[in-house]
Amino acid sequence: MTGTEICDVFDESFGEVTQKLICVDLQKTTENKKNKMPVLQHGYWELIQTKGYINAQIICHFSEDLFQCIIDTMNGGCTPPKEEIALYLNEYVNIICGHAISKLNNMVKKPSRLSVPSFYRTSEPLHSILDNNQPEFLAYSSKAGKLQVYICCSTENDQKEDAE
Amino acid sequence: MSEITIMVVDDSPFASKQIKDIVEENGYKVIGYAKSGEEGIRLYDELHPDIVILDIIMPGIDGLETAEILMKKNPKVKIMMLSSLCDSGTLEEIKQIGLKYLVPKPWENDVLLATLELLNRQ
Repeated sequence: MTGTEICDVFDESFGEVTQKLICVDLQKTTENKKNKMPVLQHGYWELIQTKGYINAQIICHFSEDLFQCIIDTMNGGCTPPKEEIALYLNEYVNIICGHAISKLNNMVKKPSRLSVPSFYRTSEPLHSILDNNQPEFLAYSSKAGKLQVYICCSTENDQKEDAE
Repeated sequence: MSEITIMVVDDSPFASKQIKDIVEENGYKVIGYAKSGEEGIRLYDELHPDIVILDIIMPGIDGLETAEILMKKNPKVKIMMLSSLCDSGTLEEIKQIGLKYLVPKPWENDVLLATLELLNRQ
C-alpha cells in the first residue's frame, strides 16, 4: 500500500465523518500542493499517530473559524469551557482517524493502532516532523473555514525494504 | 422497577454528554463519569453501576486493559466498548477478553440503545 493510497482513505474519512459530526461539507482544494510547509500562522493544530503495520504521523491545521465551528457544534451549539476545548478537537480528530485506520486495517488485514491526539496552539513543536519527512498533503475549504492535513506515513513493508 | 444505572468512562466530554442525553431520554440513569481508565476503576468500586460504557483510546491505561481489570473485580460486569477503532482486529481483541459489544464512534443513537438493551438482558 502506497502513501497516496493511505492518504485517499484518510481523505474519505475527513469528508464523511465531518459531515456526520458537524454537518459541514469539506471541499478538497489543490492549494499549496507544491508548497507542503505550513504557511498559515494562525489557527490550531492537532497531532495523532498510528503504530503497527502503518506508522503515520497525521498533523491537522484548523483555521480559527473552523475550529470554533467544530467545538461549538460538538458542544451542542455553545462554546465549551476553556479547559475543555482541546478535548473536543481531540475527539474530532480521534473519530476521523479511527474511522480511517479501521478501514485500512480491514483492507490490509494487519493491525495498526491510534495514539491519543495532542492539541497545539502553535505549529512550532510540529515543524521538525514536517521538515524531516515528505508528507502527503490534503487541503479543504468549507463555509465554516479551512483545514490542512499533513500525513507522514510508511508501512512495515517500506521499513523492511529500507533495511535491506 | 428501578432505573438501570450507567457509568461512562471516556476522556471526551463530547461523548459523555451525548451519551447522557440519549440514554436518560430512554430510561437509563448515568450515575458517574470518568476521564481515564484509572479513574473508571476507582469509580466503579464506589458506584457499582449496572452497565459500564468504556472508550478504548484514552490516556493512561486504555479501555481494553480497564475492561480486563473490571472483569477480574467482577466477572459479571456488563461492559459496552465504544471506539472510533472498529476493525476486525479490534473486535477480535474484544472477544478474546470475553466481551461482546463494540459500538463505533460516531454512533447511531438507535444502535447505542439497542446494544444497551442487549447488554441489559444478559
